[in-house]
Amino acid sequence: MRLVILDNYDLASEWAAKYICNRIIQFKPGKDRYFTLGLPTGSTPLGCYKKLIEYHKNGFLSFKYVKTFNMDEYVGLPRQHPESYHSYMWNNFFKHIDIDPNNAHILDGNAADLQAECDAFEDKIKEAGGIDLFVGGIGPDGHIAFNEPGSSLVSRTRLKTLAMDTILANAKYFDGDLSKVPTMALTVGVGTVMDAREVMILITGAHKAFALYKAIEEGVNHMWTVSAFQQHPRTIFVCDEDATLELRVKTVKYFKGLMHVHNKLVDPLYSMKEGTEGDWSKILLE
Amino acid sequence: MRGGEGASRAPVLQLTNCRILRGRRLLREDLWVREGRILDPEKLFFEERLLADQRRDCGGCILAPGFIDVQINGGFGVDFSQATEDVGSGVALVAQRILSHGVTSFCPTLVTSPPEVYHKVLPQIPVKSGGPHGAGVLGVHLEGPFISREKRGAHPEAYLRSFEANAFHDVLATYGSLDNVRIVTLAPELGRSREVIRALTARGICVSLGHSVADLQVAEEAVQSGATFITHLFNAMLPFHHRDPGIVGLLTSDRLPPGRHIFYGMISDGIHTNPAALRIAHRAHPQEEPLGPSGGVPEPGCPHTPSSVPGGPYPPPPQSLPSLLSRHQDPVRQHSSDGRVHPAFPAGHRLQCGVSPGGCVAAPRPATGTGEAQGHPGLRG
Repeated sequence: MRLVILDNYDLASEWAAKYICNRIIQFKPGKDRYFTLGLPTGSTPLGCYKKLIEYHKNGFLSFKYVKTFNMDEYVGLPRQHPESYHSYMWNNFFKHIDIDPNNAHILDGNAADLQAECDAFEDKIKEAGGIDLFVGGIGPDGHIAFNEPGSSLVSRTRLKTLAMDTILANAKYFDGDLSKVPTMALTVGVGTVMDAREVMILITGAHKAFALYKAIEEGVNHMWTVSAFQQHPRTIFVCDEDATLELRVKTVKYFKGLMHVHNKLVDPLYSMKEGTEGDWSKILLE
Repeated sequence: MRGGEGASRAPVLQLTNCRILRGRRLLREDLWVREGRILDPEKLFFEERLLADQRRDCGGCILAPGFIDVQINGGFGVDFSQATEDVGSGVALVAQRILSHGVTSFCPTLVTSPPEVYHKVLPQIPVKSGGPHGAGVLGVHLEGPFISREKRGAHPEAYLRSFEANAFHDVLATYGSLDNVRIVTLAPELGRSREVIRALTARGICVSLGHSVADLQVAEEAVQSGATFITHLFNAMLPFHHRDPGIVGLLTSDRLPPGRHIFYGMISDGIHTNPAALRIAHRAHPQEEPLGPSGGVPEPGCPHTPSSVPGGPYPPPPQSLPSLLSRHQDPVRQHSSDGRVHPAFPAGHRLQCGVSPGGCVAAPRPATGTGEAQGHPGLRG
């Protein structure tokens, strides 16, 4: 894995956004060649989404030839509910960019046949040629998407009942009222994300530190499902200092020492606008 | 980028780089419209799977529902109470000129006049939809003649009337047809007013209390009978008194029918009322919508010129709400002292999905200089 450690949340978000931007542009997407992106929700990726929107608004990045697949969606919450993941993605990302609505895929938590909906989602991913880059986060209990502790590490998209840790963590989005938090969700499986050609996990904040430790310094364990990515050929963990608080000093020093290598992945920063390759900070300051 | 439908689908217009009024706040949001109806873009994206066909950059303007002026006696040389052969042209002129002040619908108002004037003028002011040609006419506002002698203000004493004898029949005899009438201002202390109020509201006419010396109890009874509006709050009525708040007390009365909303107009030109009084009214009941008549004072050339109105001289026109608005930093915010904004009107229009905007206005960013409000009649629903 690559462990990319930035000083704070904003820098981590920016690094992640630059990486995604470069990957899309270097892929050279077009009419017959879509870039497929897996996307997360929650508070961690908000900074990254803001940066991507900024790059789009500046004309450097277009999502016209990008297909997206979100990781999960609550079951039983109306699509237009302000806390549904459809609303999250619309307000925080889709409405600000130029993606074709037909290419933005999110599981439907109100489908008549939930398992059929999950199977169809897997088919759509297959039809799109698989996922080029799956961006995800990590829960305080070490879960990826809603693959709660105990989920099979080869699982596929399915219905899951949420663990108490997750419900508690989500309560803040529902006025702190536990009874309002959905208890079930549709989620991509660990296996589904493992199938992606590349995986990027965003982890920020001290409350995620223990989960990060369990995910990368201990063994592969279905109680900490993010640990499955130790067996993925191309995984990047992007985190801030606070998220490394439970790691060994040795681990942190090693990966910090590699930052000059990691930074080559985001510098130079590519752009879809002609003549603007290179350091965007110079361009944006003009 | 479209969904699977054919080219015959109506185009979707996305207005960008604007601020819209929603949930009593100004938000930086795009406004999506199709065939004159406001769309929910999230629904459009996820259910219809469509993007916009056209985009228009609003240059940072505020998009707000057009103002509705419920009390305007004329303007630009026109006096609606004057019984000419061609009242329609005067109405059309005013309708066209008030657009640039942000008003997209209005109620031409007639002051106390003899029956002949009503019989001649009213049929010439039909309800009319607005558009780029001018603001819509919602119906006439008849301010008088059934008002208090003491509080007649600038209204001519000779033409004041009462309906004590025959109640609603007196009303019909005075006005002639009520077909084009939308609001009637009357003084509820006049005998048999409750009957008259009930008869008017049964015909869908809004009854407003004004030019009156009614105490709070009489005012409450009038509301119980159907009155829903107060004409220029504070002016031409008894002042607020702590033992009898009068009509002003309706704002905080607990004797109103449940669910009933009282609306009130205010002349907020800084001359008829002190801004502190307006703020008291607003804070007393922030949910109730204050409205400002846009025509504060008649122009020279109208019958009610400064020389003929007692108590003059009056300041040059138009010391009106829209021009006040144009001088302030944030025109829409000026409606409210605590920084919240109200789309100011009783007709229930909001910039919400599924609603025809019925005329929307783009209010400009604050300019460094003062000047006229330069609204654009943007959309027409």
